[in-house]
Amino acid sequence: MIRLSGISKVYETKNGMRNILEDINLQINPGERVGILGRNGTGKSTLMRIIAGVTVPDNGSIEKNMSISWPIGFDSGIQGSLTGFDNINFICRIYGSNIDKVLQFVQDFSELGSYLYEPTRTYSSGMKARLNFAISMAIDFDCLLIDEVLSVGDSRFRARCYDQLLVKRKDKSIVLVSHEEGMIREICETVYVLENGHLKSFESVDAAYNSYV
Amino acid sequence: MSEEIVRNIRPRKDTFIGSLRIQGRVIGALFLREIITRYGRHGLGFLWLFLEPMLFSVGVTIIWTIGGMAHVQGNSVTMAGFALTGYSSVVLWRNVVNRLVNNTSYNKGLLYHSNVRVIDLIYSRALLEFVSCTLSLVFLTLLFVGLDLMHLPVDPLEAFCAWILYSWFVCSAGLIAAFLGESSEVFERIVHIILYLTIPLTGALTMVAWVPEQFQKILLYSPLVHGVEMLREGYFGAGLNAKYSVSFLITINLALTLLGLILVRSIRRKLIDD
Repeated sequence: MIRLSGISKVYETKNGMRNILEDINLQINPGERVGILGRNGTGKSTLMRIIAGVTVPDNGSIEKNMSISWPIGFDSGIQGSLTGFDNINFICRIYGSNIDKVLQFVQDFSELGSYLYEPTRTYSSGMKARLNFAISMAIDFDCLLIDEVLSVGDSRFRARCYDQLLVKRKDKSIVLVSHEEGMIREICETVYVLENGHLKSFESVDAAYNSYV
Repeated sequence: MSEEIVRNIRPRKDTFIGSLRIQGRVIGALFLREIITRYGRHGLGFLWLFLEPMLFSVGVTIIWTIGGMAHVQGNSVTMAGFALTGYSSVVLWRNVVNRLVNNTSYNKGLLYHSNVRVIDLIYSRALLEFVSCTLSLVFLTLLFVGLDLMHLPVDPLEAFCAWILYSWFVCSAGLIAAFLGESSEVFERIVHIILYLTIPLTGALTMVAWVPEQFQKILLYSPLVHGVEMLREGYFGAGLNAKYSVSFLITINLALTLLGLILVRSIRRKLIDD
């Protein structure tokens, strides 16, 4: 379970202080798949970083008793100067995972072949997304934080991701943020809308979509 | 599997030993990553780790030997030995402070992994510089002894302790430099100049006993001087009339480390998220 209570975050901008998140309350239960809809710049990624423990909120508290992934974006968490292979090694060491097992899974799942031995800065965004997503899957977190990353993959990759998230690892919690409803509709059972710093919850998924449009 | 992962991800309340294990693993991973990023897997690769400071010390030794810059006394200390002990210390001081100044914002992408803390980035960098300079010092000592340019250290244990105390000071000053670098753009830009101007205060250029008394007092305000004096006594013996105080060095080190750790805690909030 992850519980955010009264989270707020202020950023300094040229036009003064901006409340990017105000009094956010959110609970994510084991196995729950949560979608957060919001337009560009509404603070979705900030919220993700706060859940992940990367960004420190100005107010509020977070309780968690699950292992949580880093916010999986196109290239967040992987380093351009390292090869895919070295990135895998690095991340496995950080989380204390078995390198051989992770490498095997990433090779099969990402289908990057010999590109794994090239620096990731030479990858296209789709390739980065494949690597990043595959590594985070292999580390086997209880909760995955997914930041738009699926939208850059081709349809074959996306289908394989859905298979992982909805069938093979359906006991995992997921937080997915996106500015479009498509993927959230496919994956998530609970939907929130983030708007003007507030997180709005809805009785039903459809109500959330209607409000967003 | 899942339980194992939970244990491996730094939770809010963990036992001290558990946290220590994770931190050790993270620093190890950052250390290896730094070697790969900086030196690559090609050519001489990680050999540059100690070739770089080594070449610097060798270059300075040659210039000093030819120029006869230091006024070397007694038969236990040679020009090569004097230059080596001095410049290895300068290189460590310069590299650690320089590397730590903008280390954190440069590597903030790594903070995306919540196991990685700002202090881990700093420790791993400082450790890499320490290992690199230490390897270079040990290797050159053996090489110079082999070439008959100097004698083996008279008191290796004293030299070792001096090097550790000196490195401790350098790293605790590095913590503060890391904080100042993130807090002030001016500091980040002028740190090279500051470092250059501190070279006389490292004690590398002369022994305290060799300068007039009014300058001795000034030199002995610098903890770096105490470290280098002690290092040289370990290398060349008591005949050198080294002036230092271990308790002064340890007191300063403890105070700076405490201050540095407090300051470093605030770095994370300063990093602008993107």
